[in-house]
Amino acid sequence: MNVIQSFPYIYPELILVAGGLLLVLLDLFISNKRLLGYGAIAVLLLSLLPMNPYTHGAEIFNGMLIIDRFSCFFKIFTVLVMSLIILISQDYKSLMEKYRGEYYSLLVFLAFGMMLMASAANLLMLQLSIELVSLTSYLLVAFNKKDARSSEAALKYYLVGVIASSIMLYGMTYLYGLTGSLSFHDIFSYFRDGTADSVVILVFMLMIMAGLGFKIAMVPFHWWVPDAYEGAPTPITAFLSVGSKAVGFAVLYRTFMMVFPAFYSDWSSLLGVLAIVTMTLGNIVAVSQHNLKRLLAYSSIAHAGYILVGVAIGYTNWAQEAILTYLLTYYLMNLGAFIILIIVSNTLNSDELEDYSGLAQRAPGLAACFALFLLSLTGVPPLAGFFGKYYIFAAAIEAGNSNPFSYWMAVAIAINSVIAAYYYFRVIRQMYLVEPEDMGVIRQPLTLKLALGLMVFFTVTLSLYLSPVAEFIRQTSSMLTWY
Amino acid sequence: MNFPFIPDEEDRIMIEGYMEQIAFLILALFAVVGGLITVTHRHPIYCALGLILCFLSISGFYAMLGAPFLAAVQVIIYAGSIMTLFVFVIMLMDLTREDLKMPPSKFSTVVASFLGFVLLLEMLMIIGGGFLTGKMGSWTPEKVDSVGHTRVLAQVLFTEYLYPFEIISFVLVVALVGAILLGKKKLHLGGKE
Repeated sequence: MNVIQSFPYIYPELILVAGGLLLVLLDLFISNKRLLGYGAIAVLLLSLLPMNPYTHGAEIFNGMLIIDRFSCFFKIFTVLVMSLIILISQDYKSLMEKYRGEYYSLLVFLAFGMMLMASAANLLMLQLSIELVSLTSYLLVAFNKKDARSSEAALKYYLVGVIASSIMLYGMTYLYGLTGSLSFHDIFSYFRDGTADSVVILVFMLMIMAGLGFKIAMVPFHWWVPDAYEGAPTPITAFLSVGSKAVGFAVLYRTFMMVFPAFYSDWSSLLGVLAIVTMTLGNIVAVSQHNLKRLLAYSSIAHAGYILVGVAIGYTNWAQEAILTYLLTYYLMNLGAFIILIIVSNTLNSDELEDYSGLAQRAPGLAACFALFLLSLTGVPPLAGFFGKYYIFAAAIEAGNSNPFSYWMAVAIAINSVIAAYYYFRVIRQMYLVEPEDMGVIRQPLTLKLALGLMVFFTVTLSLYLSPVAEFIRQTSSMLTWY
Repeated sequence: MNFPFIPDEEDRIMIEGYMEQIAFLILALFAVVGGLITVTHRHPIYCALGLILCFLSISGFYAMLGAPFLAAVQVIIYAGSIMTLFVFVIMLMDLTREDLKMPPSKFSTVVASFLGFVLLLEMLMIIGGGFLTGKMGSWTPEKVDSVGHTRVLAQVLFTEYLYPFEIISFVLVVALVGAILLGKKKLHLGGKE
């Protein structure tokens, strides 16, 4: 489809761009930054209107982007994540009041970049959208200028990110040199028809995997995660662990499924091994953490490992559904946990585990919600997190021998859930069984309470009533446009 | 050979071929030397100068390949503005003599040389296996020559690659906002506090 015909398909993106730029402008005149935050949420929700989750798929801008159900799912997901991040930033204390206008508009731009990532079908578009998201993320991680840890985190994140992205770019140049095209479709048909040397292609694949692995925090590209998560403002940490990871998975899945189906056996076994290593490493290191942000950082590495199982299995319907279901449940419970962290750190100025002792007595509701999210993250049966894990597990079993490691992955998920239970329960123990040192009131602002309520509500609802969501995901499951 | 030497058409082509080869060799030599200076020299300013040398030789390659616009862009953007930026950054880092004397770690040298060697093998394999065996684009050299290099670039940029082009401008907007945010020194310029 040419440029003029493509425009109706990018209304959501256009709304975000226009809205974001408008926010930058309004920031000059409006001194109540809270209004800008609500404006940003309104812009995000407005961009939902032109979306059609049951679209039949179209390649727009001469094949630069693909609008299909898969990308639409991630666009809706982006809006959900970003509007919640903005909502929980409203009462996050450590942000500088003066720069909140820019902060909210940067979050809207970030949403724009994530939407591009979700539908990129061209190596150039892929690189640019990842660059847009990464650049904005570095900025937001460094947003607490007064806090040295924030700057340090941003610098580390930036250096690792730049290296990963240049390795990926290098791999892409070779792919281009080999096939003469940047579009996923052309590269795919080249591999299908030609007799490409698979050893050489494997190296390019590794290079691209390095860049995408950085975004999803896959081992061995996970080194930035604990420091960046700890130093960043907590809402941004929440974003990194959910939003940036989810679109990273979208891109990883789409790229490998669309470009490299001819090399399925190579990348699926490689990703299978990496999935096992990622979840094990994340969980084992998380056990010894005393800072809750770091603990959740390592746990998010572990969760990336679980989702990676779905990607490694690849082409079955089960795998696709499992990835989306897991991301959705992970969004609810992980963001919920971060909301608690924000509420507590607003009052206590600390994310250390010791400071959570006796939270059940100081703020019973808060402790109960946190316990709920942690149980869900563990995967305790009736809760939403269990269904996510169940789907992934089932996908691994169902794949059988199509991936040489599928049974191993299933075993690894089972073992890792037990390890994970240990450190999640340690937090619950600290809240319920340890006496508090002081009984100061923990202030709970309205916006945070609202966000927390939403997360609790959906975590519980999804646990009891998953079928409509599962049905929606199944409907969009024939979603990835195939060539 | 008769004297005085009057070259005919055949000789002219041959001489041009030689000239091209000589020019290529000189440029290649400078590019490789520049690259080596960049990676081996201890002082970052010399590294930056080496990189400029490398960039300039590459722009010479572009000119030889019949892409004068790219050659000019290479000089203006890479050898010009980006390297100026590099030099400024190095200046701001405020390196002392002691910083520069720090010996490179043995381990990382070994690992880096190994990885570089693997990459070299890889490149040789690709070149041996036939580079650019894929589909050729619609813009053949003859067609580009007939329309004009810069015009072709503009046409492709503003039709086929219009959307990525706009995205780049957006990336720049974000970078600009961020640079102002992070670069502002005083937090309360003329404020009440």
